[in-house]
Amino acid sequence: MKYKKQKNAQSILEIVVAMGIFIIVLTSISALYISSINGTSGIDKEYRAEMYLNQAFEATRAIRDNNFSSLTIASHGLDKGGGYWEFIAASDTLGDFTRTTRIDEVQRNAECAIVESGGTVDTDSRKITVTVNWDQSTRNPKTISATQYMQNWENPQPCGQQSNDLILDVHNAYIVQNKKLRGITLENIGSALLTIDKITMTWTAESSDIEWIKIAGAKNWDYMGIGSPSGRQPSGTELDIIDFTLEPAQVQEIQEFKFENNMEGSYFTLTIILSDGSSVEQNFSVDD
Amino acid sequence: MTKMNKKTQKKGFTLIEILIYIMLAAIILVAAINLEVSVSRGEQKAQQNHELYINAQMVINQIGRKIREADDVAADLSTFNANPSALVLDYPGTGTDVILDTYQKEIMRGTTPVTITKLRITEGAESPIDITGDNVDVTNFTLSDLTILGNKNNIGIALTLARQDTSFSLETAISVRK
Repeated sequence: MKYKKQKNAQSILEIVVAMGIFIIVLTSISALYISSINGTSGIDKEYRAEMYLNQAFEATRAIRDNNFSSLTIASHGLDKGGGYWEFIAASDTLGDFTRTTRIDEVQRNAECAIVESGGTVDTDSRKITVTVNWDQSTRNPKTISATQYMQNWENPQPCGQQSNDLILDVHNAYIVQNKKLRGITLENIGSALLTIDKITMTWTAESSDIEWIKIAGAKNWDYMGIGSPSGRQPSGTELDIIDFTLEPAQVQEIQEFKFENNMEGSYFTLTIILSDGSSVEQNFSVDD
Repeated sequence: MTKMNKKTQKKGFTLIEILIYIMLAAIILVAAINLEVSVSRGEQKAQQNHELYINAQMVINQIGRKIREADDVAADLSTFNANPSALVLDYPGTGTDVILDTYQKEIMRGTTPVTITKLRITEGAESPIDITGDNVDVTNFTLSDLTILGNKNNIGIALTLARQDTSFSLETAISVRK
């Protein structure tokens, strides 16, 4: 009797255990199904994100077409509130989506191919990276990202030249003691050394020749025999200076250009020639 | 006596055991039916969503291609910032306009007649061609002219497609390339 009773109790326990297992299996299968359906419904967000991504490239293209210099090297958001596309602060929010349009400089090698580093900066190209982030569900953040290159077709510069890395700023030029031109700066925006080989200066002031050029303290050309040619030189002469090297990221003010006579009211054209033969030129006048 | 006793013991489960069994079986059955219902609903919704994405993709690809290839957007003939909008494009050298607009169509959903909005494209003198299917209702087609004065046209597109109990919205922009 004892034995029989035990057997009965075991069988109901077996049923309960079996059902318990069955419920667990069923629950896991249903959870799997439901998560797969949720996964399917997440496609709509992915597709919308893709459309926002395309929109950002088209908007950036429109901004590029209007003014290439608006593609400043930074992370941007996009806004069309003014009836056309504009960059705003670092990102923009579109409902559940956050979008960032990052603009980077582009470097090219001597063959004009785009390189990640070690080339010269191509100021007519920009790398556009658009990233869209959203939360697919709680604790399931998603992101898509794509890159395109955009060019300044309006005014392309030759690529792979050292001159692309040199900024010649003449906005703050001034004259002291009638004869000394100061305040002109050189900046190397590239990642390689730049060597300034020659300088040509033209001016409209009459009967005044150039006597010396000092870039950083010492004379790089002097009519008394530093560099060539020697002797005071008239407007437009190419002066072969003692080479001056500009480090990457270095900003260097040219200390002075010294002339023989009064240069006030003159118009100038300054051409900086680099060791690869490429050059940068600026025209300017100096207020009295 | 001993034999009798044995028989009574062998008879099986008590009433409580049977009730517990029936209860558990009922719980499992209900859970299984619920699962089946939610799975089939989910599948139906996923299928409807899929149809909406395919239609949205078709619309954006078609409109995108037409805008990119166009010479210019005839802004004075187009309707912007309204639902539904319409877009008239000038095509190079052909003297042919391409018109993207909507129209209403009555369709049957089971035995019920329903009026839906469809998107269509008209190229020159050709007959209009639908670019959305009969199962899809275009509930929002709003275009905006985001062109910066004196530059190539940039057209913003906001689109919502609906089907029974599901809908899908997207927003993008496309520039004329020429």
